[in-house]
Amino acid sequence: MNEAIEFSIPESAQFRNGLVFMISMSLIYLIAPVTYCRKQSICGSLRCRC
Amino acid sequence: MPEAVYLWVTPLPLLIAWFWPSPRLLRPMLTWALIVKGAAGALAALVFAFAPKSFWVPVMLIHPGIIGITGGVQTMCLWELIGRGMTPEMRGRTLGWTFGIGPIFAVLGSCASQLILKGDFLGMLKVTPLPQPWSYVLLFGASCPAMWLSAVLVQMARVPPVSLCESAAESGVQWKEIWRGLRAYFLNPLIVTAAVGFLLTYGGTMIMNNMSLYAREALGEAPEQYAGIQLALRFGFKSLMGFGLGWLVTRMHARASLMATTSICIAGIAWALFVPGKWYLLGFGLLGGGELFYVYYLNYIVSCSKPERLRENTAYTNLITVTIGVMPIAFGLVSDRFGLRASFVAAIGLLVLALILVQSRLPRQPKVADAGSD
Repeated sequence: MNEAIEFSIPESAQFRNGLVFMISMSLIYLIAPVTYCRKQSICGSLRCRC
Repeated sequence: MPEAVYLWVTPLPLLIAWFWPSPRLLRPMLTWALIVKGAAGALAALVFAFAPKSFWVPVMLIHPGIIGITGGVQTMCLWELIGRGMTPEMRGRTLGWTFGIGPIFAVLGSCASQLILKGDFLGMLKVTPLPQPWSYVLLFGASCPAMWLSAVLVQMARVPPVSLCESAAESGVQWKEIWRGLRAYFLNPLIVTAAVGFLLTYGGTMIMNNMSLYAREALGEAPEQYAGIQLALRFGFKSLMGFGLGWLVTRMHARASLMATTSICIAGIAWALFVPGKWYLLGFGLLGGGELFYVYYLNYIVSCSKPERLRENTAYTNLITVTIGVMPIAFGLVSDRFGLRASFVAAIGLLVLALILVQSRLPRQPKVADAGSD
């Protein structure tokens, strides 16, 4: 990203954004057999793209 | 059919990005996507619990449609959040942690769903399965608190202040702006090169089905006996490599993560091509780790994008993946004519092309380029 962005975000805010991203993604994977799996077949084959 | 519905709605998140481009809408948009996604799970659970069976089929068609739209918006907004709200170094660290831990959650989710539905997880764990419809009620219902918890956590996010020109972005379809956005994506040589490398790598990994078919021949016995080991290898490697690739972005450069993921995919297929017996299974582990290419190519494209284009560029990248649907057919044709091993060679060919392209045409550190953009 450009320098202006790099210097305008406090580290604590970046940490919070990272935490939101990490937890949201982990929850997506947790419920993947019902939602993320494109076949929607509840196959549990773990072919979901992680 | 549910898969087809999911594919039909794939372009809709892009329309949402076109219609509501303002960065001020990032958090509300993400929050609403998560609330609707959770509500869809809760409603499906209620239908399974109380409605007659004739209602089940419409639910199984509408639910993936809602998931397809909200999932697309969620991906778009989450990547915009870390694109706008983090330095590349912090983003690399975050990706490492996220995709190191994520695969463990995927295994936990799969384990829980298999225990609920069949009462058996790869022969390793056995419980009494829940009877229908309560198994479906529990599975679909559980997605609701998970998504709503995520929606609450989104309120913690801090989106950095936007520029004056960005804050002036209005809702509604503005054709001129859409045209500029399309040019900013498809005429930006870095983005286009990364996108072509991404599609070539994605295409190469579609060989996984053929590798599964070849397993019986390579192992000399029923591959189902090794389903547990295959799963452990695939997600163990994915988790370990998830941590390692994040470290690579932070310590080296973003291009290294593209080279690494594509090379790991090549190694996995080459392994399957040459190594017989039980060691054949290690190929699935390598390919499982290499599948993280998706994350790092997207990260490269995000890093090449202007902040005001992050949302739609992520949507374009997700949209172009629909073209990969032809690859299993193409590999099927190759294997029908020349054998399964020939299709492995074809997949390696695609991945080598991606590697050459990335190495020769992309800089180590992506930069926001003006050429071909606004």
